Amino acid sequence: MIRLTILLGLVGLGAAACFKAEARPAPAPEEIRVADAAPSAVLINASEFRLDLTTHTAKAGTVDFVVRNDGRQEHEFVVVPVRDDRYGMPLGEIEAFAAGQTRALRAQLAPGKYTFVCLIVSDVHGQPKSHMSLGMKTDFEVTP
Amino acid sequence: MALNPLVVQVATVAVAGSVVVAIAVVTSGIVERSSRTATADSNAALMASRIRSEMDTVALLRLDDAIAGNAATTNAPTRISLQGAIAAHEAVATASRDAADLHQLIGSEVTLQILGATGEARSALNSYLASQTLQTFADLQTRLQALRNLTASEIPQLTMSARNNQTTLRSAANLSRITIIIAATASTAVVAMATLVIGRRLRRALRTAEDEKARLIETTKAMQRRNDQFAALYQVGSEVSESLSMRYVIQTTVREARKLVGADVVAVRRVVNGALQIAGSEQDADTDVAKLGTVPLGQGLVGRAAKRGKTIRVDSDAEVQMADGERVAGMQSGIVVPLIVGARVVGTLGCWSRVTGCFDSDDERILEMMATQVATAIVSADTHEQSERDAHNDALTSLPNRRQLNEDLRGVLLEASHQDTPHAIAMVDIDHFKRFNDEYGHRVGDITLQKVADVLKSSLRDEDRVYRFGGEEFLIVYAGVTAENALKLAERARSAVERAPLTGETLQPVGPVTISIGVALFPDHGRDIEALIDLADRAMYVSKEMGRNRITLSGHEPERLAAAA
Repeated sequence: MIRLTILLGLVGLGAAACFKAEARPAPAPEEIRVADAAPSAVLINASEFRLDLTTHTAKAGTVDFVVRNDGRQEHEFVVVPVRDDRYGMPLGEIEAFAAGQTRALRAQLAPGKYTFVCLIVSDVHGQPKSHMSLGMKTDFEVTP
Repeated sequence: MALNPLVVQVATVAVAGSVVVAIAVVTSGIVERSSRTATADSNAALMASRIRSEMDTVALLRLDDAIAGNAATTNAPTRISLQGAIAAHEAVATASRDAADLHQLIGSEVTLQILGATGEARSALNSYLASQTLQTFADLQTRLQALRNLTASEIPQLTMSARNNQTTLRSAANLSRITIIIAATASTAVVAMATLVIGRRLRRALRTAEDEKARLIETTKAMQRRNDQFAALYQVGSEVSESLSMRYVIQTTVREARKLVGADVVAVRRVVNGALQIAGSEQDADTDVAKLGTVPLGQGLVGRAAKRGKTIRVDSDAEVQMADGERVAGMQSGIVVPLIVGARVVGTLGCWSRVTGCFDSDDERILEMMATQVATAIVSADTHEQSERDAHNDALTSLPNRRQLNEDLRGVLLEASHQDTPHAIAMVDIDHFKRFNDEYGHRVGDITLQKVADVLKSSLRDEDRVYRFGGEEFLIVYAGVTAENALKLAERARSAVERAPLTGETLQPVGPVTISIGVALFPDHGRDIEALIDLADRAMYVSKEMGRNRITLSGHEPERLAAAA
C-alpha cells in the first residue's frame, strides 16, 4: 500500500515536471552576429522572390540560421510555426535588410513544422504585393 | 443456449438508445463546431474590414493634410499635422492588433500576409513621420494599398465562409432537431414494442402459472381424497376385523364403501348355495332397492365378478348389463369386487353410480383392498356365528338349546316386565318316548325328536320360540298372550303333533306320537324364570298323570294331583 502510494507520488511528480517543462515558453529567436553562428547553421539565400535553404530539416533545440540577401531589394526572414495546416503567430524575424548583406538568427525550436517567409510588400507593376505571395516562402521541419 | 428473451429486449433497447445518443452527440458536435467557425469567420471578416477602414483613415488623414499643404498639386513633400500623425499612428496600431487577432483566428497565408503588411505599414508610417519625403510617402501609400488589397480579397471570402458556416449551422440544427424527433419516436416505439412483447410474455407466463396452480390444486385435492380414502379404509379394516357380528360387518362395509368412492348404491352379497344372496345395502334416499335380490353365479355383473373372482368395472350403461336381482334403475357406472378368502369367493361388494365414469382405477384399488379385509371379516364373523349357533343350538333338532333359552328368557321377561306384557311358558314332553327308544332303537328316537321339533316350530306364531329343553322335553315361550290364548296356542301345538304322520302305523304297538303340555303364566304365576319353568314342569307332569296328550295350566290342576306333584 505504502509502495503504491510512493509510486503514485513519483508518477505525479514526473507528470508535473513534464507539464512545467512544456508550459515554459521557448525563448524568442534573436539575431546574433554572423560570426557567432554555429558551423552547422542552416544557410539561406534570399532573392527575388525565393528562399533557398541548404537543408529543410533540423534536430529540435538550438538552430542557427544564416541568411544572405542575394537579391536587389530589401528582404526579411520570418519564422512562422505551422500546426494543423494553419499558420501560427511569427516566432521571430530578421528585420528587413539590404541587398548584399548577411544576417544570422538563433532559435530554440521544438519539433514540428515551420514556414520561413518574407512579408515585405513591394510595388510590382503598380500593384503592391507581399513577397510571400510572390514565392518567398519555404517549409522547414524540426525533428525530435 | 437459448437467450433469455428479456435480455434480448433490454439489449435492443440499449443499442437503440446508444445509437440515438451517438447521433445526438455527433449532431451537437457539428452544431458546436459550425457555430464556432461561423463566429470566428464573422469576427475575422469584421476585423479585416476594420483593418481596411483604418488604412482608409490613415490614407484620408494624409490626403486631408496633403490637400491642405497643396502637396497633391505641387507634388512637393507633404506635411502631416500632429493630430493627423497621432490618429494615423493609432489607426495603424489598432490595425496591427486586429491583424494579430485575425491571424490567430484564421492562420491562413493571407492573414499572415495581412499581419506582415500591418507591420510594414507601421514602419512605413514611422519612416514617413520621421522624414516626410515623396519617397517615404510613396512607400507608405504602397503598403497601405497592399493592406487594402489583401483585406479586400479576404473580406468576401471570410463573409462567404461565415455564411456557409451559418448555413451548415442551420442544417446541423435542423438535423439535430430531426434526429431528436426521430430518436424520441424511435425510443417511444422501441419502449412500446418492448412493453408490448414483455407484457404479452408476462401474460403468457401468468397464464401458465395459473394453469400450474390449478393443476397443483387438483393434484392436492386428489391426494387429499386418496388420503381420506386410505384413512377410511384403515378405519373400516380395523372396525370390521374387530367385529364378530355379521350384521355389523356388513353394515359398516356398505356404509364406508359408499363414502369411500362416492357411490349412490352399495350392496354386499354373500355366496349361499351357489347364488349371491343380498347381505346388506346402502343407498341414497332417491334410490329404490326393493328389487335387490339373489343373483345366480355367472349372471349379471355381480355374478360374473364372483364367478371369475375378478373385479369388474363399468363406466357407462351399467343398468343394461345387470341381472334381475342386482338391477337398480338409472345406474350408469359401477364396480363389483369379489370378496375372496384364500381361493374361495365368499361374496361381492358392488358400488353403483348414476354418473357416467364415476369410478377410476384408484377407486378400484381402494375397493379391492377393502374387499380383502371385508372378506376375511365376513368369514370370521360367519365362523363365529356358526360356533355360537353350535353352542346355543341343539345339534339334533337345530332348535335353540337350554342355554339359549336362559339367555333369551332373561331378556324377554325383563322386557316384558317393563312393559307388563303377559307371556306364557309351555313345557312339552313326548309321551312314551322311552318306549320308542327301547322298541326301535336310538335312530328312530332321534328321528322322532327331529320331527316333533319341526312340527312344534311350524305350529308357532312369528313371535313365539321353541327350545329343546333336554331329553324329549321342549319349552315354548308364547309372547304377549293371555291365559286363554296361551291355552289355545298350546292346543294348536298338541293337535299338530297328534295329527302329524310322524312314525305312522309302523311304530305299533306304541301308536301315534303325542305330547303332554304344562303351562305357566308371566307375570300371573311369578316373575322368576326358574320358578316359572318349575311351575310349567309341574303342570306338564299333571298332564301326564291325567293320561297324557293333554294340556294343564298351572294352578288349575286337580287338587290331588297338584299335591302329589
